[in-house]
Amino acid sequence: MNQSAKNHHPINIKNCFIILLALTAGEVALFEIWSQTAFVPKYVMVLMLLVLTLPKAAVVMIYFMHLKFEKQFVIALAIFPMILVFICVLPTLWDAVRLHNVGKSQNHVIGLKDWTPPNGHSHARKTDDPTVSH
Amino acid sequence: MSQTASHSHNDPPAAPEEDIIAHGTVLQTGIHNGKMAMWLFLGSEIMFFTGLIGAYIVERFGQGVDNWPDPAQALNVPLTAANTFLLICSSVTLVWGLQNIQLGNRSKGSWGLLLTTLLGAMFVGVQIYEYVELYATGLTPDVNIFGSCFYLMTSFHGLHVFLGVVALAVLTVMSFKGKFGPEYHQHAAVELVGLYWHFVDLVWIILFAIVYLM
Repeated sequence: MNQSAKNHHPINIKNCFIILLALTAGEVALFEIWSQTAFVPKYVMVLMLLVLTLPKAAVVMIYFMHLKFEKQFVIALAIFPMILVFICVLPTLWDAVRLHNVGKSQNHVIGLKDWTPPNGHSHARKTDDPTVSH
Repeated sequence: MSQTASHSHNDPPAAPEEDIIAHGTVLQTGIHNGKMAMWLFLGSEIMFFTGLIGAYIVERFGQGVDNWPDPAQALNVPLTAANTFLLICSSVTLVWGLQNIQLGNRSKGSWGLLLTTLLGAMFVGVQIYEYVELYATGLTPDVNIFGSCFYLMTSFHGLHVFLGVVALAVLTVMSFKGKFGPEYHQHAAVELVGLYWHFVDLVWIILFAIVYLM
């Protein structure tokens, strides 16, 4: 077996393309419909989006980046940093909860000025406290 | 074919000795030096981008749903969805180009690389247009924490795409000059840049969902 044959792993590009396209279209459609109707709570929509996003990422990693055909050592090189970062990011979520609670108790928003997106409304929380600036 | 080390039946066969001697490309692990280096680099990139995404999630969750701009109002989601489509297409054309190079179809391989380069350049162009549009609406990096997170993540990704486009442009020129062949050491550069490019695509798939849709 020569080197080129050894390193050539034919993948079905057309199927991968259709899957990626369909999942992206599904994401955008879900987002647009949810923006209009809010038919489920936000966190359910986020979970549904994750269900569509993760297979896309998997297709790219497994087929386009050839992880399916790689040695276990290379797969470990790809997976280990993700696990490591996940472990590192997880504790910071406590800080997010703290931020969330501070925002609720003091009725102000950290770092947000009174900015209005086009065709939108201000996202700075209204307060009666004159000492709290937005 | 002579073997350089003993392998289990699951491992791919070792590269020919003459290839190792001539190009020094295979480690004892059976992985080419370039591929090993690229995966180590991508490992650091995974940590880099996951750190940024982690910081965004902390801020996003910390501010609460009511205090965070609605992406549908603040950002141009349809435009970015189209841009995502461009990047996915670029990954597909790159795989197609590499497969053709591996099969010895140099012409198709060169066109695949050229298409990938053009699609990548279009992605960067659309992102610059998006920034100009958002600046006009008043969304700047210093306006709020959403602005700073948004520009930090998307611009770092855009920088990676730009560097990828430069690398792909160089490879395209080399390919049209007939520098790549079906043997691994003759097209290793394309495969390694391809790994980088698919990684950039992968990061965008995640960024698009988290920043634009959630």
